[in-house]
Amino acid sequence: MFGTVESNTPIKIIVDQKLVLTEEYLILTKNVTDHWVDIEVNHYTVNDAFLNTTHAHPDAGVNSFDSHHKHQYQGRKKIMIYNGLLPGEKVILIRLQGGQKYIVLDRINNHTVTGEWV
Amino acid sequence: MMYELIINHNGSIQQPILLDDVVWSTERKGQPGKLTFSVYNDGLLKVDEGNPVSFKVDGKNVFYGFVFKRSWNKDKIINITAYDQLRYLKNKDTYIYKNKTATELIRMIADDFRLNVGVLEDTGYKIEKRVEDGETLFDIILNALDLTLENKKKLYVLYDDFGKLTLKDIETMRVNLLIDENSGENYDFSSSIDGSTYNQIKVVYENESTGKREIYITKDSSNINRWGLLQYFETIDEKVNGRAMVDALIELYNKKENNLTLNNIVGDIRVRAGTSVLVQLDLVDFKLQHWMLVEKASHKFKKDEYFMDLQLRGGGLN
Repeated sequence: MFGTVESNTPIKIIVDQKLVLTEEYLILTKNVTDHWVDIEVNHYTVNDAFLNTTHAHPDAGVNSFDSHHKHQYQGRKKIMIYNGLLPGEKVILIRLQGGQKYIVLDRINNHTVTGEWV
Repeated sequence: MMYELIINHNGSIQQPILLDDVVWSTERKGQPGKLTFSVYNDGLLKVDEGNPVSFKVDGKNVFYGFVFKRSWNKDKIINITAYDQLRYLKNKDTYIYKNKTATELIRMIADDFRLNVGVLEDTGYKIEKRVEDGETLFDIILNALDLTLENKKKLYVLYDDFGKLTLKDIETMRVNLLIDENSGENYDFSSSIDGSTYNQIKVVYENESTGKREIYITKDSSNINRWGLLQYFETIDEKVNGRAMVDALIELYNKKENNLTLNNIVGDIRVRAGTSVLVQLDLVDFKLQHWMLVEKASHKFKKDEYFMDLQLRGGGLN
């Protein structure tokens, strides 16, 4: 079955007018909650001239040099996955055996993202 | 016997002449009270589905309900079936409730479906939370009464008392009526462990916070020796007192089930499904003297006679 998120703190999902599910009836998967995860990376950044540095050195006049370079980006990193539900989002629900709880499996709509994207 | 059957057709009060028997039947749970009767269609009688019908015997209220079905043939005899307002509990709907007693739930449903309410005894057990999605109102209410029974060991009966929804503890519904060998034509008695008899109770709670199943077990070893192991198993959804629950369940189920069917005994309008009567029978291997619960009652009001058929259930015999 499907529902619409009415509010997220505290969580409230409306299936129909008579079936309004609050926290105690819901089991939220990691698909629909903000949570930390560790990732492992081993990359170089792109060769970037972002600095485009020009600066003076004493007794040497103004020097210009090619600032193109890349960095290594490596190791185990902790990141936050913003999967938490927002009001108005549509979700898929599965009723648990016995019928007294619902698993919020996933959202149907695309994420609303607000992070940086160059 | 004075019978008074009234059909109210859009405000016109009619008292048709009754043919054959008027039969009033009730069941302890999940079914509305039913009245069937036949009338002669003299062309003047006006009756339609939904019309209120009341039936009184010697001035005493017996049945109040609504016409749900009419059938007739060449002979101009109309057979009418009416149900009391419990019929409307066959409707399905969705309810979600928290911290309510069965009594409060019934009151809420009665209010939503505009049913008339009489005396609803307080069941005194608050159900923590419950979702009922697309279930009959009967099931929604019976689930609440089952939860009450399992946790409080109290059995309640919901019935319609002449047009008013009524909820009573079965303990308070004893009718001072003695039934023995001479009461009916014959009787059919059975003793059994084949139905809902259990001597070991296992209740499982799926604990979300620990990710484990919590198991509660209780048993009666002496009855396991007598009957073999008969296990009751249930998964519960919420954290209730598991220990108290298995203790209540073993008390309910760890006994033989007795069923007694009696036909054509002298009628008594006090005996409806949900009441208890005192039964005294000299059975081959033992004497039975016990209060038994009326599971089904069918009262047959004939022209000069009044009989009833009863299906009784009892436990507590060993």
